[in-house]
Amino acid sequence: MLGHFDPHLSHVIIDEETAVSINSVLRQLIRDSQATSGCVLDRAGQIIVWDGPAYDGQRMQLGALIAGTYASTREVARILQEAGFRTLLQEGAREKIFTEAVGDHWLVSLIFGKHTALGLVKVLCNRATMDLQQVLVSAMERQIHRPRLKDAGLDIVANDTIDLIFRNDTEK
Amino acid sequence: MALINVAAREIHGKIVYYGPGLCGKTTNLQYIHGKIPSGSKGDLLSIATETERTLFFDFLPLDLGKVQGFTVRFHLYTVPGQVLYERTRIAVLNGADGVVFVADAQRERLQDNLTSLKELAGNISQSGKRFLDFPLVMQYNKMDLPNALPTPVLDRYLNTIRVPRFEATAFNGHGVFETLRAICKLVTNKL
Repeated sequence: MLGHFDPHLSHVIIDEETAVSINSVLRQLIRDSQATSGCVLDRAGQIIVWDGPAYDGQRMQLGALIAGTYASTREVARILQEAGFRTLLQEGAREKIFTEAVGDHWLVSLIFGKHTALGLVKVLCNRATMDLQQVLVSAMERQIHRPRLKDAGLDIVANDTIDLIFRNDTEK
Repeated sequence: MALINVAAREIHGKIVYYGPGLCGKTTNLQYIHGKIPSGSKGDLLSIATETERTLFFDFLPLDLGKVQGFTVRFHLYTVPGQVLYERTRIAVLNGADGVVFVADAQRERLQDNLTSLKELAGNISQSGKRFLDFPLVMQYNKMDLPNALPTPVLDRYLNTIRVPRFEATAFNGHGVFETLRAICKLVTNKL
Protein backbone atom coordinates (compact mmCIF):
# COMPACT_ATOMS: atom_id res chain seq x y z
CA MET A 1 0.00 0.00 0.00
CA LEU A 2 1.36 3.40 -0.96
CA GLY A 3 2.97 5.23 1.96
CA HIS A 4 3.31 2.22 4.26
CA PHE A 5 6.56 0.43 4.97
CA ASP A 6 8.31 -1.44 7.69
CA PRO A 7 8.38 0.75 10.85
CA HIS A 8 11.44 -1.16 12.03
CA LEU A 9 13.58 0.33 9.25
CA SER A 10 16.34 2.28 10.98
CA HIS A 11 17.01 4.73 8.17
CA VAL A 12 15.92 6.05 4.82
CA ILE A 13 18.35 6.52 1.95
CA ILE A 14 17.84 9.45 -0.39
CA ASP A 15 19.86 8.56 -3.47
CA GLU A 16 20.75 10.87 -6.37
CA GLU A 17 17.74 9.78 -8.40
CA THR A 18 15.36 10.46 -5.51
CA ALA A 19 16.94 13.83 -4.74
CA VAL A 20 16.67 14.92 -8.37
CA SER A 21 13.02 13.85 -8.51
CA ILE A 22 12.13 15.62 -5.26
CA ASN A 23 14.00 18.72 -6.37
CA SER A 24 12.16 18.74 -9.66
CA VAL A 25 8.72 18.55 -8.01
CA LEU A 26 9.64 21.13 -5.37
CA ARG A 27 11.14 23.57 -7.87
CA GLN A 28 8.05 23.33 -10.08
CA LEU A 29 5.84 23.91 -7.04
CA ILE A 30 7.82 27.00 -6.01
CA ARG A 31 7.83 28.37 -9.53
CA ASP A 32 4.11 27.81 -10.17
CA SER A 33 3.02 29.19 -6.82
CA GLN A 34 5.55 32.06 -6.87
CA ALA A 35 6.74 31.10 -3.42
CA THR A 36 10.17 32.26 -2.26
CA SER A 37 11.43 28.95 -0.84
CA GLY A 38 10.31 25.46 -0.01
CA CYS A 39 11.49 22.26 1.53
CA VAL A 40 10.67 18.60 1.88
CA LEU A 41 11.43 17.19 5.30
CA ASP A 42 10.74 14.11 7.34
CA ARG A 43 8.48 14.07 10.39
CA ALA A 44 11.56 14.10 12.61
CA GLY A 45 12.36 17.57 11.30
CA GLN A 46 15.29 16.62 9.09
CA ILE A 47 15.35 18.49 5.82
CA ILE A 48 15.68 16.25 2.76
CA VAL A 49 15.69 18.97 0.11
CA TRP A 50 15.58 22.76 0.40
CA ASP A 51 15.09 25.04 -2.57
CA GLY A 52 15.28 28.82 -2.50
CA PRO A 53 17.48 31.44 -0.91
CA ALA A 54 15.67 32.04 2.36
CA TYR A 55 16.96 31.44 5.89
CA ASP A 56 20.35 30.02 5.07
CA GLY A 57 22.01 29.17 8.39
CA GLN A 58 18.71 28.66 10.22
CA ARG A 59 17.21 25.89 8.13
CA MET A 60 17.93 23.10 10.59
CA GLN A 61 16.15 25.02 13.35
CA LEU A 62 13.29 25.84 11.01
CA GLY A 63 12.95 22.18 10.04
CA ALA A 64 12.82 21.12 13.69
CA LEU A 65 10.22 23.77 14.47
CA ILE A 66 8.01 23.03 11.44
CA ALA A 67 7.98 19.30 12.22
CA GLY A 68 7.40 19.98 15.93
CA THR A 69 4.58 22.44 15.26
CA TYR A 70 2.98 20.06 12.78
CA ALA A 71 3.14 17.16 15.23
CA SER A 72 1.81 19.31 18.05
CA THR A 73 -1.07 20.73 16.00
CA ARG A 74 -1.94 17.23 14.81
CA GLU A 75 -2.33 16.24 18.45
CA VAL A 76 -4.69 19.19 18.96
CA ALA A 77 -6.68 18.01 15.94
CA ARG A 78 -6.80 14.52 17.39
CA ILE A 79 -8.26 15.82 20.67
CA LEU A 80 -10.80 17.84 18.71
CA GLN A 81 -11.64 14.61 16.86
CA GLU A 82 -10.83 16.31 13.60
CA ALA A 83 -10.17 13.54 11.12
CA GLY A 84 -7.94 14.14 8.11
CA PHE A 85 -5.65 16.81 9.56
CA ARG A 86 -2.95 17.35 6.95
CA THR A 87 -2.12 21.03 6.63
CA LEU A 88 -0.74 23.84 8.75
CA LEU A 89 -0.47 27.57 8.07
CA GLN A 90 1.83 29.99 9.83
CA GLU A 91 0.74 33.54 9.03
CA GLY A 92 3.40 36.15 9.47
CA ALA A 93 3.15 39.85 8.68
CA ARG A 94 5.74 39.49 5.92
CA GLU A 95 5.78 35.81 5.02
CA LYS A 96 3.60 32.77 5.44
CA ILE A 97 4.58 29.13 5.74
CA PHE A 98 2.20 26.49 4.45
CA THR A 99 2.93 22.89 5.40
CA GLU A 100 1.22 19.75 4.14
CA ALA A 101 1.74 16.09 5.00
CA VAL A 102 3.29 13.86 2.37
CA GLY A 103 2.06 10.38 3.23
CA ASP A 104 2.59 9.39 6.85
CA HIS A 105 6.29 10.15 7.12
CA TRP A 106 7.16 13.40 5.38
CA LEU A 107 6.14 17.03 5.02
CA VAL A 108 6.39 19.69 2.36
CA SER A 109 6.59 23.36 3.35
CA LEU A 110 6.34 26.47 1.21
CA ILE A 111 7.45 29.94 2.31
CA PHE A 112 5.74 32.74 0.43
CA GLY A 113 5.05 36.47 0.60
CA LYS A 114 1.97 38.63 0.26
CA HIS A 115 1.99 38.50 -3.54
CA THR A 116 1.24 34.78 -3.54
CA ALA A 117 -2.33 33.60 -3.15
CA LEU A 118 -2.87 31.10 -0.34
CA GLY A 119 -5.58 29.30 -2.33
CA LEU A 120 -3.14 28.65 -5.16
CA VAL A 121 -0.52 27.39 -2.74
CA LYS A 122 -3.01 24.96 -1.22
CA VAL A 123 -4.10 23.55 -4.56
CA LEU A 124 -0.58 23.20 -5.95
CA CYS A 125 0.81 21.79 -2.73
CA ASN A 126 -1.89 19.17 -2.61
CA ARG A 127 -1.02 18.05 -6.14
CA ALA A 128 2.69 18.04 -5.39
CA THR A 129 2.25 15.86 -2.30
CA MET A 130 0.99 13.01 -4.47
CA ASP A 131 4.06 13.19 -6.72
CA LEU A 132 6.39 13.52 -3.73
CA GLN A 133 4.83 10.56 -2.00
CA GLN A 134 5.35 8.36 -5.03
CA VAL A 135 8.99 9.40 -5.26
CA LEU A 136 9.64 8.80 -1.56
CA VAL A 137 7.81 5.48 -1.37
CA SER A 138 9.75 4.26 -4.42
CA ALA A 139 12.96 5.26 -2.65
CA MET A 140 11.93 3.26 0.41
CA GLU A 141 11.11 0.22 -1.70
CA ARG A 142 14.45 0.37 -3.54
CA GLN A 143 16.22 0.63 -0.21
CA ILE A 144 15.10 -2.81 0.92
CA HIS A 145 17.50 -4.41 -1.53
CA ARG A 146 20.47 -2.16 -0.77
CA PRO A 147 23.41 -3.25 1.36
CA ARG A 148 23.53 -1.59 4.78
CA LEU A 149 26.13 1.08 5.40
CA LYS A 150 27.34 -1.12 8.23
CA ASP A 151 28.40 -3.67 5.63
CA ALA A 152 30.65 -1.04 4.06
CA GLY A 153 32.43 -0.54 7.39
CA LEU A 154 30.87 2.85 8.01
CA ASP A 155 30.01 2.00 11.60
CA ILE A 156 33.65 1.37 12.48
CA VAL A 157 34.83 4.63 10.93
CA ALA A 158 31.90 6.48 12.51
CA ASN A 159 32.75 5.06 15.93
CA ASP A 160 36.35 6.20 15.56
CA THR A 161 35.17 9.66 14.52
CA ILE A 162 32.82 9.85 17.49
CA ASP A 163 35.66 8.89 19.83
CA LEU A 164 37.84 11.54 18.25
CA ILE A 165 35.25 14.28 18.56
CA PHE A 166 34.29 13.48 22.13
CA ARG A 167 37.87 13.01 23.22
CA ASN A 168 38.86 14.05 26.70
CA ASP A 169 39.62 17.69 25.94
CA THR A 170 35.98 18.23 24.97
CA GLU A 171 34.89 16.82 28.27
CA LYS A 172 36.92 19.16 30.42
CA MET B 1 14.55 7.11 11.36
CA ALA B 2 17.95 8.33 10.29
CA LEU B 3 18.18 10.11 6.98
CA ILE B 4 21.03 9.17 4.65
CA ASN B 5 21.12 11.73 1.89
CA VAL B 6 23.48 10.27 -0.68
CA ALA B 7 22.93 13.20 -3.02
CA ALA B 8 23.96 15.76 -0.39
CA ARG B 9 26.48 13.35 1.22
CA GLU B 10 24.86 13.80 4.63
CA ILE B 11 23.71 11.49 7.41
CA HIS B 12 21.22 12.87 9.91
CA GLY B 13 20.21 11.19 13.15
CA LYS B 14 17.77 12.29 15.85
CA ILE B 15 18.53 11.69 19.51
CA VAL B 16 15.97 12.52 22.19
CA TYR B 17 16.73 13.11 25.87
CA TYR B 18 13.77 11.72 27.79
CA GLY B 19 13.02 11.58 31.50
CA PRO B 20 10.92 13.01 34.33
CA GLY B 21 10.64 16.71 35.04
CA LEU B 22 13.75 18.43 36.45
CA CYS B 23 15.96 15.39 35.90
CA GLY B 24 18.54 17.40 33.93
CA LYS B 25 17.74 16.87 30.24
CA THR B 26 18.12 20.53 29.32
CA THR B 27 21.23 20.77 31.50
CA ASN B 28 22.82 18.00 29.41
CA LEU B 29 22.21 19.96 26.20
CA GLN B 30 23.36 23.23 27.73
CA TYR B 31 26.60 21.61 28.83
CA ILE B 32 27.18 20.03 25.42
CA HIS B 33 26.43 23.35 23.72
CA GLY B 34 28.90 25.11 25.98
CA LYS B 35 31.73 22.70 25.31
CA ILE B 36 31.46 21.75 21.64
CA PRO B 37 33.52 24.00 19.34
CA SER B 38 31.42 26.60 17.52
CA GLY B 39 32.10 25.11 14.08
CA SER B 40 30.52 21.82 15.11
CA LYS B 41 27.24 23.04 16.53
CA GLY B 42 24.26 25.22 15.73
CA ASP B 43 22.37 27.48 18.09
CA LEU B 44 20.68 25.87 21.08
CA LEU B 45 17.00 26.47 20.53
CA SER B 46 14.84 26.29 23.67
CA ILE B 47 11.10 26.61 23.76
CA ALA B 48 10.49 27.11 27.44
CA THR B 49 8.00 28.65 29.84
CA GLU B 50 8.66 31.96 31.61
CA THR B 51 10.07 29.94 34.49
CA GLU B 52 12.54 28.25 32.14
CA ARG B 53 10.85 24.86 32.24
CA THR B 54 10.83 23.12 28.86
CA LEU B 55 7.47 23.73 27.21
CA PHE B 56 7.99 22.02 23.87
CA PHE B 57 11.59 20.99 23.28
CA ASP B 58 15.22 22.05 23.26
CA PHE B 59 17.06 21.49 20.02
CA LEU B 60 20.78 21.35 19.37
CA PRO B 61 22.23 20.37 15.99
CA LEU B 62 25.68 18.78 16.20
CA ASP B 63 28.02 18.29 13.29
CA LEU B 64 30.36 15.36 13.84
CA GLY B 65 32.38 16.01 10.69
CA LYS B 66 32.95 13.70 7.76
CA VAL B 67 32.85 9.91 7.76
CA GLN B 68 33.75 8.30 4.45
CA GLY B 69 32.76 11.47 2.62
CA PHE B 70 29.47 11.86 4.46
CA THR B 71 28.84 14.76 6.83
CA VAL B 72 27.37 13.21 9.98
CA ARG B 73 24.88 15.34 11.88
CA PHE B 74 23.01 14.52 15.05
CA HIS B 75 20.02 16.54 16.12
CA LEU B 76 19.66 16.48 19.89
CA TYR B 77 16.24 17.13 21.40
CA THR B 78 14.83 17.16 24.89
CA VAL B 79 11.21 16.50 25.76
CA PRO B 80 9.26 18.48 28.37
CA GLY B 81 9.36 16.30 31.47
CA GLN B 82 6.30 17.48 33.34
CA VAL B 83 3.47 14.94 33.50
CA LEU B 84 0.92 17.10 31.69
CA TYR B 85 3.03 17.27 28.53
CA GLU B 86 2.67 13.62 27.58
CA ARG B 87 1.26 14.30 24.11
CA THR B 88 4.06 16.79 23.45
CA ARG B 89 6.60 14.12 24.35
CA ILE B 90 5.06 11.82 21.76
CA ALA B 91 5.34 14.57 19.16
CA VAL B 92 9.02 15.20 19.92
CA LEU B 93 9.81 11.48 20.04
CA ASN B 94 8.48 11.08 16.51
CA GLY B 95 11.24 9.81 14.21
CA ALA B 96 13.86 9.46 16.95
CA ASP B 97 16.80 7.17 16.17
CA GLY B 98 17.98 6.89 19.74
CA VAL B 99 16.99 7.93 23.25
CA VAL B 100 18.96 8.96 26.31
CA PHE B 101 16.82 8.27 29.36
CA VAL B 102 17.93 10.72 32.04
CA ALA B 103 16.98 9.43 35.47
CA ASP B 104 17.05 11.62 38.56
CA ALA B 105 19.09 9.58 41.03
CA GLN B 106 17.50 11.12 44.10
CA ARG B 107 15.72 8.61 46.33
CA GLU B 108 12.38 10.45 46.26
CA ARG B 109 12.34 10.57 42.44
CA LEU B 110 12.51 6.81 41.87
CA GLN B 111 8.80 6.46 41.21
CA ASP B 112 8.87 9.41 38.78
CA ASN B 113 11.70 7.72 36.91
CA LEU B 114 9.81 4.45 36.72
CA THR B 115 6.66 6.16 35.48
CA SER B 116 8.59 8.08 32.83
CA LEU B 117 10.49 4.98 31.67
CA LYS B 118 7.28 3.00 31.38
CA GLU B 119 5.75 5.81 29.37
CA LEU B 120 8.80 5.88 27.08
CA ALA B 121 8.58 2.14 26.47
CA GLY B 122 4.89 2.49 25.65
CA ASN B 123 5.46 5.39 23.28
CA ILE B 124 8.20 3.59 21.38
CA SER B 125 6.11 0.43 21.11
CA GLN B 126 3.11 2.42 19.90
CA SER B 127 5.24 3.94 17.14
CA GLY B 128 5.68 0.40 15.80
CA LYS B 129 9.22 -0.16 17.05
CA ARG B 130 10.50 -2.84 19.42
CA PHE B 131 11.56 -1.18 22.66
CA LEU B 132 14.09 -3.91 23.45
CA ASP B 133 15.87 -3.33 20.11
CA PHE B 134 15.67 0.44 20.21
CA PRO B 135 18.96 2.34 20.73
CA LEU B 136 18.73 3.44 24.36
CA VAL B 137 21.27 4.71 26.86
CA MET B 138 20.54 5.47 30.48
CA GLN B 139 22.05 8.28 32.51
CA TYR B 140 21.80 8.42 36.30
CA ASN B 141 22.00 12.14 36.92
CA LYS B 142 22.56 14.08 40.16
CA MET B 143 24.79 11.36 41.60
CA ASP B 144 26.62 14.06 43.57
CA LEU B 145 23.61 14.69 45.81
CA PRO B 146 23.60 13.11 49.29
CA ASN B 147 20.18 11.55 48.74
CA ALA B 148 21.19 9.86 45.48
CA LEU B 149 20.48 6.15 45.37
CA PRO B 150 23.51 3.93 44.80
CA THR B 151 24.07 2.74 41.24
CA PRO B 152 23.26 -0.95 41.95
CA VAL B 153 19.87 0.07 43.32
CA LEU B 154 19.15 2.25 40.29
CA ASP B 155 20.26 -0.61 38.05
CA ARG B 156 17.92 -3.02 39.79
CA TYR B 157 14.84 -0.81 39.34
CA LEU B 158 15.53 1.14 36.15
CA ASN B 159 17.93 -0.84 34.02
CA THR B 160 16.33 -4.24 33.94
CA ILE B 161 16.96 -4.49 30.20
CA ARG B 162 20.68 -3.81 30.77
CA VAL B 163 21.35 -0.98 28.34
CA PRO B 164 24.57 1.05 28.63
CA ARG B 165 24.27 3.35 31.64
CA PHE B 166 26.34 6.19 32.99
CA GLU B 167 26.57 8.02 36.28
CA ALA B 168 26.43 11.77 35.80
CA THR B 169 26.34 15.20 37.34
CA ALA B 170 25.16 17.10 34.31
CA PHE B 171 25.61 20.63 35.67
CA ASN B 172 29.38 20.17 35.88
CA GLY B 173 29.60 17.87 32.87
CA HIS B 174 30.46 14.64 34.63
CA GLY B 175 29.15 11.79 32.47
CA VAL B 176 27.56 14.05 29.86
CA PHE B 177 29.88 13.30 26.96
CA GLU B 178 30.24 9.62 27.87
CA THR B 179 26.46 9.35 27.55
CA LEU B 180 26.37 11.24 24.26
CA ARG B 181 29.21 9.21 22.82
CA ALA B 182 27.44 5.95 23.71
CA ILE B 183 24.12 6.90 22.12
CA CYS B 184 25.82 8.26 18.97
CA LYS B 185 27.58 4.92 18.57
CA LEU B 186 24.41 2.93 19.10
CA VAL B 187 22.61 4.97 16.47
CA THR B 188 25.38 4.74 13.86
CA ASN B 189 25.68 0.99 14.48
CA LYS B 190 22.03 0.65 13.45
CA LEU B 191 22.58 2.21 10.02
